[in-house]
Formats: sequence, C-alpha cells, structure tokens
Amino acid sequence: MAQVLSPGLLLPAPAARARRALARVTPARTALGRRLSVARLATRRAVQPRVASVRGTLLRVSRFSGALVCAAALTTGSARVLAQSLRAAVPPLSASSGESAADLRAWLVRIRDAAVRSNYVGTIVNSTGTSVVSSRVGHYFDGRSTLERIDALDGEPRSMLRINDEMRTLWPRYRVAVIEPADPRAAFPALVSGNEKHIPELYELHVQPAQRIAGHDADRLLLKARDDSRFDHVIWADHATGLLLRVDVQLAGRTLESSGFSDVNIGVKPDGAAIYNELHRADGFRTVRPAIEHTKLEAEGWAMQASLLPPGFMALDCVRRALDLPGDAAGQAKVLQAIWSDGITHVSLFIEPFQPQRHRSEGLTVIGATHTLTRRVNDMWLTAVGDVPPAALDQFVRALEHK
Amino acid sequence: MSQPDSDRSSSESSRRILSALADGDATDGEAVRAFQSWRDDPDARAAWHSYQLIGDVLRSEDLACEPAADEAFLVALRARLAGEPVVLAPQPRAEETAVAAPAVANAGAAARSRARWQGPVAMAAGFLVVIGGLNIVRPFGHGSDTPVASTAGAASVPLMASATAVNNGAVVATGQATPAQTKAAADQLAPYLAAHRQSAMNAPFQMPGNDLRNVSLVQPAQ
Repeated sequence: MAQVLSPGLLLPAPAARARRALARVTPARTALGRRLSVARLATRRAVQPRVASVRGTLLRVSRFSGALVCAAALTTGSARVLAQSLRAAVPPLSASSGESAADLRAWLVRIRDAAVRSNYVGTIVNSTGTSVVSSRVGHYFDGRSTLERIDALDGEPRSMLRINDEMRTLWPRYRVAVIEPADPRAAFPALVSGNEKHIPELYELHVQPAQRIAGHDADRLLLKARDDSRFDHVIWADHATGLLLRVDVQLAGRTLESSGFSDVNIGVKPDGAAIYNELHRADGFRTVRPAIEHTKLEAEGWAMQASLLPPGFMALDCVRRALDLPGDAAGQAKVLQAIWSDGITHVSLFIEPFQPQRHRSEGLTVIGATHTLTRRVNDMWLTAVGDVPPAALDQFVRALEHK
Repeated sequence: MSQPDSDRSSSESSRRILSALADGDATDGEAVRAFQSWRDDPDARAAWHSYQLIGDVLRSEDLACEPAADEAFLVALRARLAGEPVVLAPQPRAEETAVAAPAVANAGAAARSRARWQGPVAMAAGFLVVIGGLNIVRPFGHGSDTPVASTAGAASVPLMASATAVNNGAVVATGQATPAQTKAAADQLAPYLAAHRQSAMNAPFQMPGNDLRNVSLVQPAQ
C-alpha cells in the first residue's frame, strides 16, 4: 500500500517513460530519440564506476546508511557528470525550445505526402473572426490519379472539380464552367523544394502536446516566425496519417484566421463517380479558360531591389493575367502578378497602369490573416496581397523599381 | 507525532522512515509520517528523490539521469498543460482591430491610423463579393487624404451581415466613406484576392479549397 501511495515514485521513472513515449510519437522525432540514446550511452559509461562502488557500499553497510551514501555520491559526483553530459547532448524539452531543421523538413514531407495520398471526405470551416465559411471536400487518390471535389456550402453555389492537373469551377446558376490548370506545385516542384530548404531559417518548429481535432488525434506543431515579416502558424496533423486537419495563423498568440475540418473521414474508398457524375451534369455549360501567360518581372521592365525585400522570400512565379472587373468598370483588367514565397506563405504583387476612375482608395485592407496594400506609384497602381504583416507588404511595394 | 527530540535525530528518523517506505517496508503509521515530512520538508523531498534515483540506477542504468532534467521536464509539462489554449470561437471584432492597428504603426505608419467601421453593406448581386470583415485603414507611409473606408461583415447573405453587426459593438457608421465608396473598395479588391488565393494552392500548409475562403465569385467571367 505504501508503495502505491508513495509520492516520489511519480518523479523519475514515469518521466523517463514519458520521454521515451514522446520520442516514439512521431517519425520526425526519431532524430531526438537517437540523440537521447547516444546521451544515455554516455551517461551509462560515466555512471558505471560510480554504480559499482555504490553496489559495493550497499553490500557492506545497512540499507539506510547505504542510501545516504549513495545519495551523497550521486548528487555530488556522478549526477554532476551526468548533468554535463546530458546538457551537452540532449536538446532541452522545455516549451521554449525549437526542434531541429531536419525535424521540420520531416514534418513538411509527411504532411505534403498525406495531402496527396490520403482518401478523405470532410467539411472544412474557415473562420476569420467576423465570418465563417464552410465547404465540403472529397479527395481521392488511387495510386495514379488525384480526384478532388470541393463544394462551397455558403453563398453562391459552386463546385470545384479537380482531375489531376485540371481544375473546373462549375457555376450551376450561371451555367458556366471555368477551366484552369490545378495546383501549380506540379509545374514548379524544383522551385518549391528549393524554398523549403530555408524554412527552418525563417520559422522555429515547436512540437506541442497532441490534441483532438475533428474526431482525430492530432499532432500539434507551432511554426514560430523568427522575424516580423511573417505570421506564426499553428498546425494540426492527423497523428495516424499526417493529413492536415487544421491551420491557425497567429500574431503574438492571437488567432487571425483559422481553417480546419469540422469533421473528416480519412481512409475512405475512392469515389470517382462523385466527381465524374458532377462533371457530366455540367455538359451544357459555357466553358471559360482564363488566359494566364508566364513571364518574368525583368522581361516586363521591372526589377526588385533584393536588399529591400523581406528576408526569406524567393520569387516563385510571374504571370500576365486578366482580372474580371465588377460593377461600373465591368470588363477585364490586364495585370502583371509576381509571386514570392517563403516556403510557408506567399505574397502576390499586382502591377497595372493607374486608372483614376477605378483605383480610388490607397490603403490597407485586412480580412482574417490576409492583408492587402494598394498604392499608386507614379502612373502605376500596385496591389500587394498576402498572409503577412502590413510592414512586409510595404517592403514589397517599395522594393519594386521600373527599369 | 512530530514531537522533536532534537533537529538531527528527528531528521535521521524521518530519513529512516523514508528509506523504509522506498523499500516498501514502512508500516501504515510510518507511511503517514513519511508523507507528512515529504509534504512539509524540502530536504525530505530531496532525499526521497535521491533514494528513487538510486533505486532506478540499480534496477537499470538506462534510468540514470540528471535530477534537474526530471524537474525541468515536469515543469515544462505542467506549463504546457496550463498554457494549452483551445481556440474554437472566433475572436471578437475589437481584438482583430487591435492586432491590425499596431502592426500598421510599427511599419512607421501614420500613428493616427484608426480603423473606422461602417455599417454592414449588402453587396448587389452580379459582383464579386467579399464575405467577411473588410476594413481599410489609412494608407501607411503616405500622408494622403484617401478616404477611409470599411465594411464589417459585408456578406452575400443579409442575415449574416446583420448578425455580424449585432455581435460586435465596434460596428458604427462613420461619415468618412459613403457606402458606395466602401462597396467600390471591396469590389475592386475581390478579383485580386481571388487571383492571389488561386496561386496559393501550392503552399505546404494550405487547407483544400483555400481559394474559396473569404472571396466568393458571385458571377463568373463573362
């Protein structure tokens, strides 16, 4: 009875067990586990002679006095050696510590892989603090083809059907189908992966205690921005599969915007009919293919002063495109869109000639985590958009120069 | 029970009882006494921990570790448990404004930049509509007289817009921007946001359907 109740038993052994359990939790932590075991080996070597002498002492003296001798020996001698070797080899497990760059990359790979390979059906809710928008998502991967269907549950009915690298947005009330290339990732794998190398320099990874999200046990990660040019991201990934379950964009602990599943069924049977039937329903729709022309900022007569750009953002793409204008100015505006990414978030800078009748309000607009900065520079009109702090957008606008 | 003979002998007997407890040899009465001394006497707790550490090391050398590491682990664990927020509800409007405003000021902006709130404006059909709070503050780095426009919860569903207005007291009409100006500002931005979101699909931590959030294209391309 006494042993069961004994308070101190809670201290060392469960802590060590918990640490080992933590190390088992994710593949990303295996590096830590390896370091721990290396440290333990060193520890064992350091402690071995002491333990031997302790054993000898124990044999000779009574249990009571032996314990005192041991305590003295351990606390004054080998414990200190232990402390030094542990401190050198094991990263501290406190909440303020960051995980290694390799861990962060392992998580990125795991989450991206799960996003492509999982079969799931669920409801995603996006909340900006003033609005809640939800959509129904089905994603299927049969080993070769990716099929995805997203139905907006709020506002104007519309469905996005993705079949591999083509995305069709169907507007049933207008009987219009907009066809666009899907997922630029497929087109720029090298650029994206090149960027990922720098993510650990820009964000600090903290693996936080697991939580339950949308009915699934989820690993919780905090990607803490290392500077003021980006926001913090809190990420929940399904513990079993790595599927992204929820993402919060935060500034100083405040959530600016949250997107996540309210419910999701992971590991469902691929249901191609759900996509192809909907596609056939749109057979009579008018088809629109927005023209997007890839180019280079320099080729369009522009340059960015690299020294003025926020750190870590690399040019991802530059396109000429036509934006459909609403209202009085109905028609299309031809704009140049340059895109930068820091590997986690991205910023678009739209460049177009200034039109007094249309470009009326310079300033900053905030929707959830998305900030938009508009500014007239000479006879041009610039619009910078991104999930980044306003100061970073300002840097993009200022860095642009006409050649 | 706690009749002191002398400090030293009391301490020794208390250690002896702790040791017996560690070995599972303590009687019920001794166990109670040991618990009390563990609770009240920091030295007893230290001794107890040392005994356990010794026991651990003797059982398995793998368990040998710096006592401070256990403590640090427990402290960190408790801190993380205590500081574990579950943000489920959207934040009140007032807080979001507070987030945006300092950021603008930090950027060397006009410190007087104030978010002004305009009553919810329902968008006319046939436009790109921004669902969600839209607030335009004074342009920073510029001393221009650009009108300050904002809408709160301009939504395609009037019911939703009025709910937003009720929910946050910060929604007040200002004389600076007319509804027409506000609407024009929102309309003007919507296609840019849609284009930006569409190009965002390759980001690693993007939920599916990301380009549907906030911005809804009410009328497709002509």
